[in-house]
Amino acid sequence: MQQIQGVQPVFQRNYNKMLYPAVIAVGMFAVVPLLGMVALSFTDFHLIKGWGKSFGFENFVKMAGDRRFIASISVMLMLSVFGVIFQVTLGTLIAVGLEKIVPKWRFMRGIFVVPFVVPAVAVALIWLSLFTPTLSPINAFFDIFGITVPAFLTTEYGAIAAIVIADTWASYPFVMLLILAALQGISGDLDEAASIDGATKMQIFWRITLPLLKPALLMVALFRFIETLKHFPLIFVMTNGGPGRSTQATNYYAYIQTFCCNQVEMSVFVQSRNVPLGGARAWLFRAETSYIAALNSHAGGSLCGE
Amino acid sequence: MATKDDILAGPLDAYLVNGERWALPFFAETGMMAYRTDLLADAGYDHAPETWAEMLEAGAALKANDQAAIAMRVAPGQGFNMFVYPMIMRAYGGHFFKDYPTDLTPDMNTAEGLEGLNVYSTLMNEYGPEGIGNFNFGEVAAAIPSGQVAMIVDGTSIVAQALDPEKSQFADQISIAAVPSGPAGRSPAIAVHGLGVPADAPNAEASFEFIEWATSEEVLTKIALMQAYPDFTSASVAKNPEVIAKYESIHPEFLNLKVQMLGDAIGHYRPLLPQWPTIDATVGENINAAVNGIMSNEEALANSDQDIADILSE
Repeated sequence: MQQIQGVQPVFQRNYNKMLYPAVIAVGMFAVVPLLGMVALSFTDFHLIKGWGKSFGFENFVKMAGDRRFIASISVMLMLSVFGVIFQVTLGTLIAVGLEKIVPKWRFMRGIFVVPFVVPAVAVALIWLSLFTPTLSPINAFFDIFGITVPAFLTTEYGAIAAIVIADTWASYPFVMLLILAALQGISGDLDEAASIDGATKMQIFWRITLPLLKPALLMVALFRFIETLKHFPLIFVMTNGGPGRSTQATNYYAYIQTFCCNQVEMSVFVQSRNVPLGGARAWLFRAETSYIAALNSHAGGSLCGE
Repeated sequence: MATKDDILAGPLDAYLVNGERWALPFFAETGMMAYRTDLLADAGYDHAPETWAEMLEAGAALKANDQAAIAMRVAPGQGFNMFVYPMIMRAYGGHFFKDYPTDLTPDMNTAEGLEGLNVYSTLMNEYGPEGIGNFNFGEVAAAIPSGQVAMIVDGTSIVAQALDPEKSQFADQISIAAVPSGPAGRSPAIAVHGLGVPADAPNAEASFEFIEWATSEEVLTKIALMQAYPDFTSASVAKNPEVIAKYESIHPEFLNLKVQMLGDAIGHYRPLLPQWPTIDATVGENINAAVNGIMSNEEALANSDQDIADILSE
């Protein structure tokens, strides 16, 4: 590092000190509990019986052989992957539509954001009644035409679809807002130049807008993927993990292990299976953000270099 | 001070483990049936079905009138479907273990158990409202006041909501009856709360004096009169004229029926084992899968036996 002259070293030390509050806060509220959780996952702590003084890898072995845990991972992946695909698609389409195709509708942004503001439990209750045939206005509407809407929540894949639908409805505004922000950063000159050259709106979208949006899309998809891994209110209210076990995602299975079975260490292990996952996620995220940052500067540079 | 005979049998035995009683009950919810007198009359019944077999017939008659007959909890979980399913299971002679509490071999997969599960599954799928595979106590409570179904069998707090004229538009036409019985008798659901003293309590004697006072006839009567508390566990309180007058407005027969159900209930409706919450949750998932057609009834019972054995051997 270069020799910094004069008053710079003083500034440098003070800049470092400015980090202390954040470091302390993150340490106290995030790192320490995380380490505690990891330690807890090696024990056999029981909510009522307490700690049985054992410390080892038994939980890990149990989990590897627990078919319910393995089934829960596949449920979690299904919910997350399909959820993210639909949310990102819907959010992007709405964002592009608002920004490019119908610029007079900008006030609609406020209306489209409403689902995101609704608390998760309220979302779950709304969609529970929409999916309950005896209470749902959708079923009543289709009954007029003699069409019986099938019951979603009582079939294996229907229940997963129901949760994905409810999740998409509640979360697409997040995608929409971020993509809108990214779209603002794309210069309108590009579209103008393209249409002068005879490109249709669709071609502009596929060939120009989408590639420029790729970094933002990746980031948004990553954010949403991490969020969907934490699915709980929707499952708890809409299906209770049913029918049978078909919507028991890993997070929900952890809840059952803790509060129905009082086996805190099992649930913590399930959660702390998400810790290495979370750790991996964090590293992945770091890598992605550096990649995205590099891409952005490259894209910016290439635009400037024209 | 309450005498042992004054406490209703079901709740008292809910704390009976290894021949000793470990707590005194002060709250007991039990199972009860609520039904629409007008809808049943239309289908040709002047009284509520008294057995589960009669319930199936009534279901068929109501279905002919294009009316869903019954709603019960089906959602998987120990406080959800497993609160109501054992009512039918035990009525047909099914049980969880070969001989609780002495022989804890899982024994759900018997001919009687299968019959019970068949009846439950048929009632829910054939004669229940659409989408019942997911019903929890919220949906059950909403089903009868809104006219969706003609009968519900659930806990007394849910049934009381159906009778409340402020919450239920059909309150006048709703009446209550005992939980239906089966070939092996009647087994109403029971959920008991009580007071006990931990082994390492520093003031055990004083704690017990408090418990005696809190579960005495005097105090329970006071609470029953001052609060909405029809779930007391003392027979003498149920005979108190003031208490009777207060809870008559729910339904004239409510208290009597409740006491009768609590007398019929067995303390180990949910077996008193430390692993029971885990077992209950797992079995509940299997039963729910069976009702929703994800696995057959025999499979569900066989899997439940296997799951119980796995959990007990851990």
